[in-house]
Amino acid sequence: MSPFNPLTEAPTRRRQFMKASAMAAAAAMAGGADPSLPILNADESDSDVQWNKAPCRFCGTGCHVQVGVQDGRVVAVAGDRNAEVNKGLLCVKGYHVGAALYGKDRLTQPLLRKGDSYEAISWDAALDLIADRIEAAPNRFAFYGSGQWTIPEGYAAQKFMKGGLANNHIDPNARLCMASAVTGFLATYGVDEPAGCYDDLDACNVLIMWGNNPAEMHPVLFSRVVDRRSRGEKVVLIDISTRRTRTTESCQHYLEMKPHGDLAIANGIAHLLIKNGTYDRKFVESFCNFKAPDPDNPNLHGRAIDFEQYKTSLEQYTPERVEELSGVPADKVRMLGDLFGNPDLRITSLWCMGVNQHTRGTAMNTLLHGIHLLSGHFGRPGDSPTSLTGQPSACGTVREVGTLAHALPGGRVVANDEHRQQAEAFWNLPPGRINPAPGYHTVKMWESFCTPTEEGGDIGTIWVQVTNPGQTLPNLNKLFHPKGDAKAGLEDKFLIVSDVYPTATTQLADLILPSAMWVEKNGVVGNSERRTQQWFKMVEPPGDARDDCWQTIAVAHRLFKRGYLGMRDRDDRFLFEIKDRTGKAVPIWEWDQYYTVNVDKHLFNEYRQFSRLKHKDLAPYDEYVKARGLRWPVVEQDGKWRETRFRFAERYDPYVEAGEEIQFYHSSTKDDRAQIWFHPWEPPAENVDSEYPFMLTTGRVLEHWHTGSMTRRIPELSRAMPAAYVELNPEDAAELDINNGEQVMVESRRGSMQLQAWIRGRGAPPRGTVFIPFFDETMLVNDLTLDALDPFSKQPDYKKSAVRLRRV
Amino acid sequence: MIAGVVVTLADPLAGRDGLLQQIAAHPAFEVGETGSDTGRIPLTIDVADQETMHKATDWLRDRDEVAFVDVVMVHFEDQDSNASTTRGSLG
Repeated sequence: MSPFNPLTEAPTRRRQFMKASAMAAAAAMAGGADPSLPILNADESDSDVQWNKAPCRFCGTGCHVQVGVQDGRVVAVAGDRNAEVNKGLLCVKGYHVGAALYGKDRLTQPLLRKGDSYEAISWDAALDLIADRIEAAPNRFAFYGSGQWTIPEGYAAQKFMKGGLANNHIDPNARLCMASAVTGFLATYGVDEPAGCYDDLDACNVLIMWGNNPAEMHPVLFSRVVDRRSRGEKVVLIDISTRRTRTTESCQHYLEMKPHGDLAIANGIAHLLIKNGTYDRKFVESFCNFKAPDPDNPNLHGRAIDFEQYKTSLEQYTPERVEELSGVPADKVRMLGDLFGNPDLRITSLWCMGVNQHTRGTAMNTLLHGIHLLSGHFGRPGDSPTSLTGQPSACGTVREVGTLAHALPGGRVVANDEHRQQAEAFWNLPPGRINPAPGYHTVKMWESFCTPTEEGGDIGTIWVQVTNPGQTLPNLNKLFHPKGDAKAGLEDKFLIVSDVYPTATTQLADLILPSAMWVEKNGVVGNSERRTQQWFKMVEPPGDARDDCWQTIAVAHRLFKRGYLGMRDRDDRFLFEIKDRTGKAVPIWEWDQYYTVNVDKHLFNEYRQFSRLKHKDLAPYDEYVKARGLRWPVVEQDGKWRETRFRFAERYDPYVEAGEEIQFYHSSTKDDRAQIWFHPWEPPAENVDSEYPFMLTTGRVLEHWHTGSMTRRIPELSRAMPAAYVELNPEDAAELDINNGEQVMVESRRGSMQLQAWIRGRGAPPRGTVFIPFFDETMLVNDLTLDALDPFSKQPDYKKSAVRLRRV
Repeated sequence: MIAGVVVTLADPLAGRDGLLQQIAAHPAFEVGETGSDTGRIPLTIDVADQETMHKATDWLRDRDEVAFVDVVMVHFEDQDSNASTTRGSLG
C-alpha cells in the first residue's frame, strides 16, 4: 500500500479530506508515514478546512491541538505532533475539546435576575449596572477569576482592580488548587514555579507521585513515562497515596498512607539521608541553608537553624515512627531513603492537589523540595521536585500575572513599596495609587460576601469570570449557598457571573454575562512547566457572547467616561488605551472595534515588562505566534529567543553566573542558597471519630475536567462518566449493607448528599476512606468539605473531611 | 464519523499478519502505511454514528493481538453536537 499523501492527491470532497487527514495523523503517530503530518499544511491543499494551533482548553498540562475550522465552526481536532508537550497525543478530553463549544445551552445574551427568573438585557445596560455597583462602593467590590483566565484577561483584571480601583480584592480559584505550591516555592527558592520541566519525565529513573494520580489527571504526561517503560527503559514508578487509582496500576510500588502521612514520610527520608550519611554534603554545604517555622512570627522566612538543629529535629522520624504516623511500612520508608541516597539515580517527584489541598500544604511542599536538595537530586535532567497544576493558566495568569490578593505582576507584591512603585511606573499611574494592603483571599472574600453587611460582611459585589465557585468552594453551605437563601440577610449583595454555560454559580447570579471561550477568542496561557502558549481566534462566539477581557475593559471605560479618576493614568488617558499605527486611540471598549487591533498582543507586550523583574522573562508576543510555547525565562541570545529548561543550573539557565554550578539567585537569604525546611508532622484539621468514622477525599476523574461545565456537555464524555458516585471499600460496604449502585447518604458536620455507591470501581480506597469526584453539578460534594486553611497559603483541604454513611 | 487511531500490538513480532487480515475484512477500517517492524498500526475508522464508532473501537480493543488503541483525531461534525446532558441551571 502506498502512503496516502493529501498534499499530492488533494482530495476535494471534505469527507475524503477528513479521512485522509485522520489517516495522516494516525500514520504520523504510528511512526510509519512520510511526510509527517501533512494535515498541518492544510492551507496548501484544496480543502476548505483551515487548521491552526491552540493549547487544549482543559488542564494544566498544556497539550497542543490542531483545530480544523470550516464554515465558521470547529469541525475537527487532532493532536499536534510538533508540540513538545504532547508530541501528537491527546487524552480523551483533548480529543473532544472542540465539542465543548457546541453544547445546546450556551449563554448568548446578558441576563438580569428578576425574582426567580431572568430577563434578557443589552450589553449597554449590563455594563451600566456593573459600573453603578462599583461606583457606589468601589471598596466593597471584588473580582474572582481563575487559572482559566488567559494571561491578557488576568492582566486586564489585575490592572483594572489594583491600578484602577486601588482595590486588591481580586483572587482566583487557583487559591483553591495550588496556592501552597506557590508558598512552597517562595519559602524554598525565594521565587515561584518549578525549576525543572516535563523533560524530567524523559530522563528520570525513579518517578515518585505524592498524592497524585496523573494517569487520570495528567494522562499525556503519565503516558510519556509509561511509554518509556514499554520501550524497555527501566523506570521505577512509586505511588504514595491514600487510595489506589489508575496510576497505582502502572506503578511497581504502592505506598498507602494515612492522611497527613506524607509529612512523616518526607521527614523520614530526610532522617535516613542524614543517619546513613547519604545526603549530598557538597550540594548542601555549597547551596543550602536550613530553616524551621517561627511560632512567634509565622511567615515564609521562618527562623534560621543550623545543620545540627535540623538533624536533631528529624531524629524522632525513624522508619518505625514514620510507619506509626503514616501507615507506610518501615521497610518501604527505608527503600525511599535508599533511593534518595543513591546519587546515580535521577529522581523526579510529582505532586498536585494531594499535597496542595492540605492544611499543611506549604510545609509539605517545602519538605519535598527539601529532600531533593538534601540528597542533591536537583539541577540535572530527571532530578527534580515538580508540582503540577490543574488549569491551563494557573501558572501563566495566576502565578506570573499575580492575580492573587497580595500580588502584582512579575512576582511583585502590593505590600512592598518598591514593587508598587514599579507597577505604578509601568502603568503610568500617579504615585501612591496602588493600595499597600493585601485584599481578601478566596475563602475570606466569599465568607464576607455571604455575611450580612451589618454583621461585617464588607464585600457587596463579586464579579466572577471563567470559574464556578458555586461548585468548587469548600463548605458551600457557608461560603456560597447563603446567597440563595432569602432569610440570610444578603439582599444588598450582588453576584455577577461571566460564563459560557449555566453553572452552579449562575444559579445564584444577579447578572449573567455570556462569554466567548477558547478559540472563539485570542489567548495566551502558561502551563505547569513555565511554557507560555499563544493562539488566535478561529470562530465567532455564539449570539451576543463576548470576550471576558473585553468585558473588563468595557466596564473600565464606562467608569472612565463617568469621570472615575482611577481609570485615568497620570496623563489623564484611559488605563487601557491602545493606539493604532497612526497613533489614534482605538475604541476597543466598543465590541465591533475590539478585534480591529490585537488587544492580546498589546496587553501581553505591556505585561512583559514585569516579567523581567524577577527573571521570568517573556519573549515578545510574536515569538509565541511562531512557537508551540516557550518556557521562561526566554532570553535573547545570539539574536534568538531561547527558552530555559532547567532553572538555577549553570548549564541551562542563562542567569546563573559562570562557575557557580547551581545558583538560587532569588534566595530569600540573599546568599544564592535555597532553604531546606524542617516542619513537624501534624494531624489533619478534622479526623474521623465515632460519629463521623469515614475520611472523605475528593478529586477529578479522567473523563471530566474541573466542575464538568464543559466536559459534561460533550456527549461522549458524559456518557462515559455520567454522574458522581461514592467510592467505597468492599469491606466497609458489606458492613454497612451497601451494594454496588445503591443510593447512599453521605453526611459531614457541614452538609449531606445522596449518591450511588461504587464498589470495586476505578479506584480502591482502603477501609475507612471514601472518594467522591467533584465534577457533577447535580451532586455537590463541597456541601460536605471542610474550609480549614493552610496558615500560609490560605488554601483549603479538600482531601480530609470526616463523614458518615448510610444506605438510603 | 471519522477517527484516526493507532493500534499498538501486544507483541510486535507475533500476530501482526493475522490481525491485519482481520482488520482488512472489517468494512469500517482502512489500514495506513506502516513498516513491518513496528508495533503500531495507523487506521481510520469511518462509520455512520457514535454507537458504531464505539463498537468498532471496542472490536479492535478486544483482539488478543492488540495492547492499546490510541485515538489521534476525531472528526465529530457529524455527531449530535447539540446533545447536552447537563441540566439547565437558569430555572
